[in-house]
Parts: sequence; structure tokens; C-alpha cells
Amino acid sequence: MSLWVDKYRPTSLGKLDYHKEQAEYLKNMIQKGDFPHLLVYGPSGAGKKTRVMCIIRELYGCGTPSKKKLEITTISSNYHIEVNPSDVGIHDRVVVMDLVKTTAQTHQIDPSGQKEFKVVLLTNVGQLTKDAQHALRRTMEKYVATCRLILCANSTSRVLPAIRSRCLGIRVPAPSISNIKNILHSICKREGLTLPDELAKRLAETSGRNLRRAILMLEACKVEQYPFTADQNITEPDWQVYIRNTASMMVSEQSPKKLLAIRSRLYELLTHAIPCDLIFKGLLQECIKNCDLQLKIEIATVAAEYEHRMHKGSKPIFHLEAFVARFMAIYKKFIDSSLEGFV
Amino acid sequence: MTSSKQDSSWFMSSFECESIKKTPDVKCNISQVSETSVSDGSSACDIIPEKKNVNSLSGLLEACAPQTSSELVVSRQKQREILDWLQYKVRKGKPAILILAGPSGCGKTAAIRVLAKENGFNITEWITPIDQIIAENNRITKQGEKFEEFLIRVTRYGSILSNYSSRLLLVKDFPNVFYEDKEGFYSLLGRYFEIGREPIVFVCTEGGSLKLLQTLFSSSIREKFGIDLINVNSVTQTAMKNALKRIVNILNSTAGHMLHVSQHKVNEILSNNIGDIRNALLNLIFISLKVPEEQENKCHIREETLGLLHGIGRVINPKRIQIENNWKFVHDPDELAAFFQSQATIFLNFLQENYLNTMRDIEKVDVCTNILSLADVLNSEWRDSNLNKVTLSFGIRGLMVTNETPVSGWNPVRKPPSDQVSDVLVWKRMIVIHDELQRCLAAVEIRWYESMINSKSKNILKEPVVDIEEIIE
Repeated sequence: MSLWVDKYRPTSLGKLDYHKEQAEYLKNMIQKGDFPHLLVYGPSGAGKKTRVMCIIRELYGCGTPSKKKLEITTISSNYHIEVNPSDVGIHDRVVVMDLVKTTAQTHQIDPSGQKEFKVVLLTNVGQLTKDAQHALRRTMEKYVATCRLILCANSTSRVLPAIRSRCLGIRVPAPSISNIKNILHSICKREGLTLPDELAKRLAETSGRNLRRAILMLEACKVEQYPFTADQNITEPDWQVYIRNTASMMVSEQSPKKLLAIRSRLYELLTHAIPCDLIFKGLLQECIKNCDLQLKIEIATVAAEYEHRMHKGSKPIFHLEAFVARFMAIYKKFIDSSLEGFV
Repeated sequence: MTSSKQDSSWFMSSFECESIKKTPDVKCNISQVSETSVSDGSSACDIIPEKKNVNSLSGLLEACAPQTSSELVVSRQKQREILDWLQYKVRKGKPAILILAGPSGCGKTAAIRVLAKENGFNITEWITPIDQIIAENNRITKQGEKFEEFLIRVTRYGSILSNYSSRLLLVKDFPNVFYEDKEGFYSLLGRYFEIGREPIVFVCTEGGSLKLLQTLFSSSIREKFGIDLINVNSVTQTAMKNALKRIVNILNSTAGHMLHVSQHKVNEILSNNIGDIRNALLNLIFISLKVPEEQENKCHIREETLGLLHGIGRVINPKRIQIENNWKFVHDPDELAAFFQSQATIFLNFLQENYLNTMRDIEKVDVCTNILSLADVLNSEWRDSNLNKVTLSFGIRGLMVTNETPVSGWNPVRKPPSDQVSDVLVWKRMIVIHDELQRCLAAVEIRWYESMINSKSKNILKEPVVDIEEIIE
């Protein structure tokens, strides 16, 4: 039994549900037989990787991907290899160089009837360090004859300009609310379920225009309660609740002791593989709810600074804690001064 | 008898102290050696200087070495134990092993040397050769093999020059191979007990990071081979006092031209006593040296070894001394940093885990976390290996300066927990490990909802077959 997200994932460019015009362009590009390196970017849950997989399928037909165990896990078929180099932390430079090299150095055995290049798919390029990205830049130039890189990132801001200019950028915007609604309806129809329009709308809204999350939520709702009702409970991811509670702890009391308690919660989040920037974002969004504009600016600046440091450093907990402590200090000062004004 | 002793003395390298008493009162130094020995009329190959005044440090140390069992710093009871072993456990031509364990400088080796001599044993000591000897056909003999030869073969033939009745092998300097290769060492011991014929004394210095007793001579091994163990304690204050009293006499009489040992200095040494006679002697000689400008030498005790936990404690609980308008730290931050240079990252992680316990207010915490966060960023810069020393010093100094009034209290130092994804989760949620590695939103979302959906639909036993091409955004 596979999840609905996987079950109803479009497998060819022609079957995509939204951004149809873009799909058409992609199809044309591939039918020409060759294409430059690609940089696919867009918010998470917008369907970046679905599109990339469609492209690969269009190129090579249905070669079944197989698992290949390296030091880090990669997914590869005869024609392509997929790597998430951010898993290896700050040593990613070596991994990236090595991988692309080994893939790129071997030519396809039988160029007739096949494409003369292989595809390397790198996900989360934004999380690569500067060094790795520089290494990537050289490799891209050198092996352009034998391999094409497809890079996936959430935003181009963390990708080096040098890499951006070497790639054809393809932006995949998040689907609109009505797009998501339509897709949810069509899934329900194929599953033989009836979905109230109200619920579909609410699901689309709570998902934050993240299609993957919307479909997951729908399935979760289905196992929770069927037939659907318009006002039924939509389960939020547990870590969101957890982060929100952590943030309210930060607001409630500012002392080293509290910080210690918060630290253990942060560790809890980290060991559950919650991405660090998600934690940062969650904390910030919740914290600034109780602040006036002046304070908001200050805190957002601090958050940005520590988030930046987190990407440069190697231990996320250091920077998360530094942010929490700084927030506490600022907030305490703010409360004290406003109390003084009151007296 | 005397002449035979003279004849044999050329190959004995140390403890030639009887000669001091015998020689006529002639002031001689090394350059005059040959002259004296010739005039002495004894064998021409006698290269041991017969001296009254000793100039070299090693000569001084030799002169101070204990000559009789009554001069030893080891307690009577331990001496008794060693004697018992020498007299009853050791039988001629039969293997026997004794382990002498104790902290450094408590007189283990001196004790076994003196007692063995008094009981008519000739000591042959193993010293691991530094240079590799290339045998014929360019084969290099391994340390371990040479050691085995020493234990079993080489020593079974007595020296014709020796006039002692039996022999004793002394091993202080373990060949490095055996620290790694325990099995090899055990099999070597086994072979020794089969064919070895000379008794062996292993001298193990305990303390610090060296844990020979636990690693090479665990209790099971000792039982298996019937190895005896004698633990020697560090030198007591009274024993030290007596020994120093004796040494002072020797020093003043043999090296009066370069040393002046006063009771005051002895007291100073005694007050810094950490039970290490060797170190005490070295310090005594050092502070008693006659210096032209008559500067007062300061006495240093042997540099203590600082454990990680103590280091952490000193940083998170900085003590200050007030000197008029100024203050300084009791423990110098740079010295602390110097101790942990090789493990800078670990030290910083420990600091981060523990510094909160002694912080009083959040403003100070803010400054500290900021420092630690910056330190982490600097530490991740792998291109300059010196940077992490700077980082360490920066972190330590930062925390110590910031924390002006540390909260006192009992704070056990904790180990920083891992922030890696735990293996338990992989089991609990029954998911493909592939997902577990990825710290990205997609993987997390899918994982969480998948676990929820699976548990709700009561299909927990059936593990979802996730096709790889489908775990995609």
C-alpha cells in the first residue's frame, strides 16, 4: 500500500495537473534531444521533483531506479543518479566532486539509441556549502559533454550566481488554492470517496499551498474519519505544535533555567530530523506575535543573523540556542522598560 | 674477590656507588678518568669514573639511588611482599611473573633493583630499541619478535661474567605493538610459561591515561597464568622526609661545589609533595643549584594532568583573585586552552552543554551563546588548522570573562547529547532508513503522516513498500 502522494503522482509531463504551459515547454525542450544544465527551484511541495522525474522518464523511458548504497544514500538508475549531498554536512565538497566525476567520466556504452549523456540530480543544492558549490561549478564545465546536472533548490538565493548563470532556471511556483482543491477532488474521485468542497478548501488553506502536505492531510483525515464532514479536524504535523509550545515557553519566562528546558526540546526536534531552518522559522513566527513593530524588526534581524551562522557552522544547536537567548534578553528588556513606564 | 668485582664492573652500567667510598680523596672530573683508572692499577677497560665530585645530573641521581633495603621509600610491608615473591615463588629454571604497579615515582623500580641484588639476582632490563635493525636479506625484525626473543630465548644463557646466582628479567618499557595487539601479548605470555626459564618482573606505571593493568593484565589473565600483583602506593610524607634527609647528606657531600641544599628548601619540596620521589629529587637538585646572582628559584611541582571534566569546571566556574584595583583569574584561560588543544571541538561542545548551570541572568547567557555560536562558525572553517586553537581560547576566555558571579552548587558535568537522528526512531516508525537520513521538509512530512496513516489503518505489520522512484516531492 503506497501513500496517495506517491500513488497519484503524475509520471509524464503530459499528465501534470497544473502549470501546463510550462510542462509543454519542457516537453519541447526534451524532444530536441539535448538541454543545458537545469536549476529547478520553487517552494517545497510545489512539484519540483515530480517534474524532474517526468523529464528523466521522457528522456530515457522507464528504466527502473535502483537503490545504491554509498557512504550517503543515493538513488540511481542506469541513466541517472540522485544525491542529497547535504546529508554529509560540511564535507560535502569532496562528495559532490567525487560523485559527479565518477558518473561523468564514464560514457554511455551504446550511444546509438540512447542519449549520449547521463543525468545527475542534486537535491537541496541550497544547503551545499560555498566550497561544494564552487567545486560543482568547475565540474559542470568540464563534463558538459557526458553529463547534465539537474539541481533542485527551494530558493536561488543560496545558490552561487556562478552556478545560476550556468543553468537554465526553471521556477515551479506553488499551486494555487483552487489547483490544490481540484487535485484533492480528483484523487477522491479515483479512490471512490466523496469530498465536501468545504473540507477541500480548508485542507488547501491549512497546507499553506504545499500540495504534498495537502494530500498527506487528506489521507490522514480519511483514516481518521470517513465519511468526511465539512468541519472535521485536520491533523497538523506534531512538530509544528511542538515548536509553537517551545516558542510560548520563550515568551513566558526569561531565565537560564528556562533556556535549559528549551534546549532539551530543541534537541528533541533535531533528533527527529526536523530541518533546522523549519525550527528557526517556526520559532520566529510564533515569537514575534507578541511584539510591537520596533521589536519585530530587531528580532527578525537577530534570527536572520543566527540562521546564517547556522549554515556556516556545523552544530545547529549552538545557533538555535543563541537565538533563543538573544530573544529572551531583548524581550526581557522590553518587558522591564514597559513595566517601568507603567509605574 | 675485589679484583673479580673490578673486572666485571665494566659492563655494569649503573649504580656504581660503592666506588665512591673506596676512592681516595682526589678531586677529579671526567677528563681525568683514564688517568685515575690507570693509576688505580685496575683493568684498563674500566670506564666508570671513580669520582668524589659529580658534575652530571645523571651522576647525581645515581649517587642518590637507594643502596640497601632500609633506604627504600616503599613501605616495609610491600618490601616484605616482594621479598616473599623472590624467595618463595621464584624457583630456578621455572617461569614466574610479578607485576609491580603504582603511580610514577613511587620507587617501584628502585625497590626491585635493591631487593633483587640483596637476594643474589642479576637484573637484565628490556629497553625497546629505537632503531630498527635490518637483519640479513633485508628483513626487519619486528619489535614484538625481538621482545619475544628477549623473554624466551636470549636470556636463558647466563653471562660468564656475572657472579650472581640467578637472573631476573625486568620489563618497564613495553613494546608499543602490545598496546594494540592484546591477543599477541597473551599468546606470548602463554609461550613464556611453556618454555621460559627466568622470572620476569613487569613494572606498570599506573595513572594518567595509561591503563596497562586493565588492558594488558586484566584480572582474568592474571588468574589464568597465575601472575602475582603487588600494588605500591605513592610515597608517604614520612618516607619522603626520611629519604630526603638521606639524599641531602649525599648531595651535600658529593656535589657540594655545585649544590647547596638547605633545610628550608627541603621543607618547600616536602610541602609540595605529591608522592613522587623522583620528581621531588629533581626539584630539590634544581632549586639547590648555586646560581651566580643568587636568584631565588621558585619550586614547581610536576605539572598536573588536567582532565576534561576539571577543565570544564574551571571554565564554567571561573574564580577570581582581587589584587587592589585589579583582578585576575585563578586559572589562566590560556593555560586551560593549551590543555585541550587537541580536542578543541569536543571541549567546546562540553562547554556549551554545561555553561548554563552556573549562569545567573539571561543577559549574560545571551553574550555567552553569542560567543559559542561564533566559535562554532570559526571551527567549521577547515582550511586553517590553527583556527580551532584560536576558537578554543576565544570560547574559554569569553565564558570566563562574561560569567562574573557564577552560581555555586553541585553541577555534574554532562555529556552533550547527539543531535543526530536516533536509530530508535527507525525502529519505532518502521520506515525505510533512506528517509531517515534526510533532514529536509519533504522527508519529514511524509514520514510523519505515513506513520499516522499506517497506525490508524491498522496495517502496522505490513510495512509499506515504498518504491524509490516514488519517495519524491
